[in-house]
Amino acid sequence: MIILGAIFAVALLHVAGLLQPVENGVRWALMPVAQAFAAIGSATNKNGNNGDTVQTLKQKNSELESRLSSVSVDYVELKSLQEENISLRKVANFLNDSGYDHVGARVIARTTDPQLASVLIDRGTEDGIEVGMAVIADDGVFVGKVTSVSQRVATVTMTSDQGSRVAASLGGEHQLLGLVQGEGNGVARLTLVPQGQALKANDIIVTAGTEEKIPANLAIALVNQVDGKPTDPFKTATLEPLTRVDKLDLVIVLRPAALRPH
Amino acid sequence: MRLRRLLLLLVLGCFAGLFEATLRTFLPWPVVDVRPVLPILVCFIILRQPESAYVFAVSSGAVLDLFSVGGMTLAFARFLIIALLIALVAETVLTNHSLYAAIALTLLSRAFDWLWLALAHTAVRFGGGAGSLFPHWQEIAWTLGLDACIITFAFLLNHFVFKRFVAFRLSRY
Repeated sequence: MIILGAIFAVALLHVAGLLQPVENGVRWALMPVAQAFAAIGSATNKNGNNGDTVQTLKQKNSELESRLSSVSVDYVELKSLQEENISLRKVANFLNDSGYDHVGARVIARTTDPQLASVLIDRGTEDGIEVGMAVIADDGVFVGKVTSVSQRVATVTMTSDQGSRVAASLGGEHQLLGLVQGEGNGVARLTLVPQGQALKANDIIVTAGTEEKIPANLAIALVNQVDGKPTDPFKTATLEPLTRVDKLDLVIVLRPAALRPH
Repeated sequence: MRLRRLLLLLVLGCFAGLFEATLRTFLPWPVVDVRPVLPILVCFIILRQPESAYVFAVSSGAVLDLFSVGGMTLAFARFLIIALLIALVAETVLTNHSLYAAIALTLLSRAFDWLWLALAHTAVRFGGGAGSLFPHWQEIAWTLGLDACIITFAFLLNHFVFKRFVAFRLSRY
């Protein structure tokens, strides 16, 4: 009874936030070890074969070949647009002009539940991180948003997490298209797309920018397959993520510049 | 318990908790299922050091709470209650402290752990959250197998290197 009482008291103190100084102190003391462990784990993971069998690799290869042939027509045009975009961004200094600052963070823990896709990063409120901020991979792909934060760490919920919802639009268009919902197992689905909206495989889905702390036009995923009967009011689409969450080691949190700590 | 031993247990608990919370989650399958906290905890109980098991359970659980994704999951309470239950079983049922008893206690502790997590996930899902109610059977089988291997390795290491069980038997008879 004494032990149960002690456990209840600790849980109560935690909920009340009275243990925050102690928790932050322990996190501060152990953070270097956690970062070292994460680096070791990440390096081990990269060196491992991740359990891919020859059969799986062959299947992936054939899928990639078919995709390559379908997108090769657009490649030259996209390449020239990309070069133009890079130079324009350099000139316009995109991040400053869009009012967003960026904070690099290391992933120090992941969830191992396949239905969930969340990671813990080594940045918190003392770095100006807030709930709802967008998180991108180092190649600029939107991977999720901050869902809880403490002084030194924050939890990022990825787009494939079952609890994730992100407003999305079609790449190149500036109107809300639908909602990207996580399905677990690394898969997401685009839902609530009006039946009249043109949508086809290999379209790029980007953030709509309707959420307060998530800028527009961050690439989320590629459309894999469009589902739904013509009589349905809405159609859905399965999405293929542009980056593998289980390969993420470093991420960038987009922080409104006004929240930059001084 | 001496202060030096207490500190040593706290450090060991911190490292084990950090391993489970951070490093393990990056490793590919099947290494991702290596969870050393419960086998180490059973080791302490088998060695008739329940106080050490309780300190180790609380320290590793607290670190797991602080560094696991999604915030506090009361891992410190989970491990402490499991340690108490395993100590009770070791005192009353599996009293011979053999290798078989060690393996049985480890598997029992894992069963308690999954039962607790299943109840917690049920509560989370009841509240509208997401998550698997129970791990996949392959994960269960592999985790149990790894647990048995870890406790067997620790038991044999203790027996052949430190001669603890030999000393215990000699003093007993």
